[in-house]
Amino acid sequence: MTFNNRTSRTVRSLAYIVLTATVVIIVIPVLQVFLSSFKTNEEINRVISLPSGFNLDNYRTVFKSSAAMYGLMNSVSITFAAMLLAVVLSSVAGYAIGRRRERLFAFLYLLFLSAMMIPVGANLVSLYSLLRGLHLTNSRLGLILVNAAQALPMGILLYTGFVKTIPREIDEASVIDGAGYAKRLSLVVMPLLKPVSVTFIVITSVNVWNEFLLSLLFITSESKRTIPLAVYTFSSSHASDFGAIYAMLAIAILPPALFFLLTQKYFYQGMTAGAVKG
Amino acid sequence: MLSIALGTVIQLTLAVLIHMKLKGRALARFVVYLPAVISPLIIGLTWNAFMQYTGIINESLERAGLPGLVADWLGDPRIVKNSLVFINLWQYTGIGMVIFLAGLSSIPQEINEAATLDGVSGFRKFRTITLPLLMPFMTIVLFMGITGALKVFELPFVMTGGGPVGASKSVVMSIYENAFGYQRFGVASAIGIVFFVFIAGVTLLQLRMTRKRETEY
Repeated sequence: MTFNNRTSRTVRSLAYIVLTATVVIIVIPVLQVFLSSFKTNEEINRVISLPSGFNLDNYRTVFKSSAAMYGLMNSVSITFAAMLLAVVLSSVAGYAIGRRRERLFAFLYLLFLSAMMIPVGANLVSLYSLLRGLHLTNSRLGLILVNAAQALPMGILLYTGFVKTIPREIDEASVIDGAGYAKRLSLVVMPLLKPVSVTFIVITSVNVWNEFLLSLLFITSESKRTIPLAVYTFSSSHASDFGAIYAMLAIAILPPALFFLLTQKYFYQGMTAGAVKG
Repeated sequence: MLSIALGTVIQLTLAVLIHMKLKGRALARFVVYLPAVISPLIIGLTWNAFMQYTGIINESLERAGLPGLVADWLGDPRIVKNSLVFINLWQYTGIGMVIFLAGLSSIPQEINEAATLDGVSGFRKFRTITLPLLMPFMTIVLFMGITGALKVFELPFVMTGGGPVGASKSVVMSIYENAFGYQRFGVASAIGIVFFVFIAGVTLLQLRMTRKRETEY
């Protein structure tokens, strides 16, 4: 939109005011967490105040309890494993669905996509009895499998759409060159799918990282808690130690915020790609 | 419903503003989207400090000389739902904004130029040209807003426990409570199925309604 008359200046300054106000409203709560994490509890009780200095006691309390360390380590490994599984499965499925013209594959595609409509909440009971039957409750493997499964529909949607844009001739050329199915997939197709893989990983890993309800349900021992669950249990066990809770919140906010800072571009692309096709 | 409409208006406004190529728009876009990548559980705990009766909002109101506006944001059954809706909106505004932004940049420049040549500008141009072309994106944003709002769990779970007197209980929360609090797995499954049918219904209706209003160019 371009404005080149006199009103443009007023419109522009109005736009600045609105944007600045929005940014301030969004920043304040986040800033408050970081400031409070350096306050003593007595300072936190005086609600509106600045910390008197860089007081690191709260962070010491958090790291003494080992909850943060376990939480971060588990979240990293669960997110990584779930994403790896989801990428491998959905790229192979997306490749097949994108290439085959038979009815069966169109049906499978719809079947996978319809899973997107089922909210996790509606599945709670059946998921729980399924995992208990498989002896996968209170296990990281169980969480990895469920999270990967949650990510599949989105992955299949993205990969199928992308595979359709890759010319068939590339596949055919590799067949003529004597590549078998496995080789064609791993050496020819996978590298071509890289852009969509990046988008998929960036967007979905945040969902896996933030997942709370399922971990709350399945994980009982401290050493297996993911970071949201660790924050939750920590905030109830240290209910009166506000400073420590804020330090814990700050630690929990940092990784996704940094991740987002570094991968912004893919978020914006991915939100659009997923949304337009969905 | 009202909150989703309001949310969409805010998102669209922000997208239009950011699309104006002002300085600092990359920063604004980053900040507005940021809460969406943080776990709603953590957001809920963060906002707790603001919404308690002795929390930051009330304290600021007192100091600003507006004690009349002090309210029990989480403890009053009439207010609590609005408080949670506000936080949910605060967190996910960025997603809608980014989708609308993509929509705005997908509108061909020629259409805008043609409109300007025809002497259409300002708000009228927005209403007659930009908005119809944004309808597909509107579908997506509305759809995500509705299903997202129905799936809320973490916010009431950490902030109010569904209370006071169930005023802020969400569907997912009551499934969770029935199954794992009262061991009524049958009831929980039933709510789950109704919930699924409802979401599927809303989605289909939504898609049908907004698709009709989409414009081809």
